[in-house]
Amino acid sequence: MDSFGSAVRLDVAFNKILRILPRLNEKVNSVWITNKARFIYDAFNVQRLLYPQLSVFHLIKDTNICARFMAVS
Amino acid sequence: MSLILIYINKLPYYVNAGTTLLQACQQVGIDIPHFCYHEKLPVAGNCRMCLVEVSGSMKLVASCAAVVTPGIQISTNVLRVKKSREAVLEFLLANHPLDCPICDQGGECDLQDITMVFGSDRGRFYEVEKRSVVDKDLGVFVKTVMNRCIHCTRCVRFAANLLGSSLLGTTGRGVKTEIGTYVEQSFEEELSANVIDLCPVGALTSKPSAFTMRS
Repeated sequence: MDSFGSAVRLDVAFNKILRILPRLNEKVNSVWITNKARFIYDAFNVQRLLYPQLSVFHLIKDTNICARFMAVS
Repeated sequence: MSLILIYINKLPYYVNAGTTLLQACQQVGIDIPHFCYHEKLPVAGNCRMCLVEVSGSMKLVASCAAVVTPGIQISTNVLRVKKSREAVLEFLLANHPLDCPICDQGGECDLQDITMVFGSDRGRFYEVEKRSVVDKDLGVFVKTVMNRCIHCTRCVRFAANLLGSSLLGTTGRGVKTEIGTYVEQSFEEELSANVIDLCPVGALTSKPSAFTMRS
C-alpha cells in the first residue's frame, strides 16, 4: 500500500474496504503501518478513476482504453 | 537462555529466564487482563489490571513488570486476585462514560471485554460526578474523546519510544491527569495513526472513518 510491503488486514463490509489494519510481520513492519497505508482505502471508495480520461482543450471527457490505443498507434 | 521452573496455579512449568510473569502466563495459556502492557512498548505498570498473587509477597504483584525467579509460585485464580480485578475495573469505570453504543471502539474494546469477563456487575460510585475532559485536537488522523481515556499511557510511550517525539504526554496528577499535546499541535507523524490500534478504549479513534463502521 505504501511501497513498504507491510503486512495488512483488509476489513470489508457493505462491499467496500472500510479499514486497513496491520498484521504481525517481524521482518518488515512489526505490528505498525504507516498512515499512508492505513488510510489509502479512501482512494478505493471516493473519486476513483474508473475510465481513462481525455483532456481536450481543458475539457475532461471519459473515454475507453481501446479508443486511446487506436488513437496513439 | 536457561529454563526456569515456576509454578502457576500450583502447576509446574518451565519458562525462559528473563520472561515476565504475564508473558509466562500467556505462554501456558492463562489470560491475564491488562491495559497498559503492550508487547512492543516499554513496560509502564500503571493500570494495575494484571496484578497476580506471588507467594511470599505481601502485596499483589504487577505481572507485566515482574520477572520470573526460580521456584516462584504465581496464583491467578484465587479470590484475592479476582477481588482486585473487580476493584480496579470499578475504579476505571467510575470515570468512564457509558457511551459504548455510540463509541467507535464498541465491540472491539479492551475495557468492554475485560469488564465482561472480570468485572463486577455493579458499581458503587453514584455520589460523585464523572470526570469530564476537554477533547484534544490531534489533527486529521486521530479523533479524541478524552472522557473515555483510562490513562494507560500506551500512546505516550508509543510517541516517545517508537516515533521519538515528545509530542504526547500527561499533565496533571491523580483524577486530573490528562493525556495530550502540551500546546495544541497536530499529531501527524508518519506512523502516528498506530495509536488508534494501541488505544484499549475509544479515546483515540480513526477520524476519517468516524461513525462509518457500523451500519
